[in-house]
Amino acid sequence: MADKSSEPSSLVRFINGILPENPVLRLVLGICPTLAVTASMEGAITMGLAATFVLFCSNFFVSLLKRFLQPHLRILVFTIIIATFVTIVDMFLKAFMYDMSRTLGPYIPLIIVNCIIIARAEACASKSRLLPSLADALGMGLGFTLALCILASVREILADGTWLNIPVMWEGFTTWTIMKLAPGAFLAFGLVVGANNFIRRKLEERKS
Amino acid sequence: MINFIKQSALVLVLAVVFGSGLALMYAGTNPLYLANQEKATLDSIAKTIPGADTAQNLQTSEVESIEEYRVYRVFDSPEDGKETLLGWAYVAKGKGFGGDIKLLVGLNAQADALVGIDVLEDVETPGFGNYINDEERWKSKFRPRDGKALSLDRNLVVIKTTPKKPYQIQAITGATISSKAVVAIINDTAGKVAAQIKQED
Repeated sequence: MADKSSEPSSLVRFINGILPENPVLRLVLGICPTLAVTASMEGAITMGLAATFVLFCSNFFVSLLKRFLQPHLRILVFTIIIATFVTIVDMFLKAFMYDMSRTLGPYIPLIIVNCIIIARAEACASKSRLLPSLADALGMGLGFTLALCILASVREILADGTWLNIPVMWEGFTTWTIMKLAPGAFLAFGLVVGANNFIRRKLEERKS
Repeated sequence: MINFIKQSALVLVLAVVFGSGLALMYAGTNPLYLANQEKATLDSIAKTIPGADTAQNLQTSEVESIEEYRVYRVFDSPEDGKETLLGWAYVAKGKGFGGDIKLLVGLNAQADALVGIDVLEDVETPGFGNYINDEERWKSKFRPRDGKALSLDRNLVVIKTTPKKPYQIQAITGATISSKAVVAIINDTAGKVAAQIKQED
């Protein structure tokens, strides 16, 4: 986490979260939901947006309350805030997106222990002013959603031949059931992180 | 001391504020959640009981005297007032391969034969065990064949080869445990529930 002396501007914070410091592809945080819910695009988008909402609200309140946060109190306060908003998301999905809530099952309540959210509260929101904190939350949230979507695209297309439930492969395409299961999640995750690192290195080589 | 009180007050205020917020949210959304659950069960009943999908005015009522299971009386009550009993449906739960399986089991109007099943909840392996949700691969095996519903007189048996007897159910390839789990839930509960329904009538 880059900020040391001078605080980066809101825009830099926002962009940082999306690719340069992408929470999944670069910081390798929040891997449990990344592996668990990326079997389909619909699940990935819902999880990404839910986590973004929680991250935004948590950064908002942590940044507002940072003056009062004693070192020994902060984790307790983070937990109260995060748990509250995760429960709100869970109730919302159960009431308005019942089928999706059943598909994601325990992974919505498990956003509480998503490392990205507590990491941003600790590394950014508890030290930064409100606006940069919010920009950071949006950037990191979008970065998380983007990473989930890339992974889910690979897995859904190979496992079902569909993307967002729309058939995209040719007729007679043999579906790879393994991509729907845990091994497929690890395989796809490794390949996507590898591809991201490869592209980064090529870009850096070109720059120097 | 002052500092201690200040810190406690902060946590206390936060807990009260967020707690009340959650309580409000719960009060607002829980009725919708319960309605969603109810609707899912009713949709599943309509798919499971033969004739329910073509009924003019499908009605269900919970049999409240049976406490152990949620048993629904399923009937058609059209405008002209002549009520026909279509069958009975109940919710049963048991252990599957990945976790609990919750089934909706449909019985005929006489409560002596099985007419269909539906899976309400499961966490079976995608691509294998979760084919218990598949109509063609699995659920159709519990529907009446050649107009004859599966009698409850004898327990169903899971086999791996092509069935020769009506009470034999062929397992899903690669998902014998899930297949056996579903059949075990039916065997364990259908007889008991049917007996209680007959007592009621």
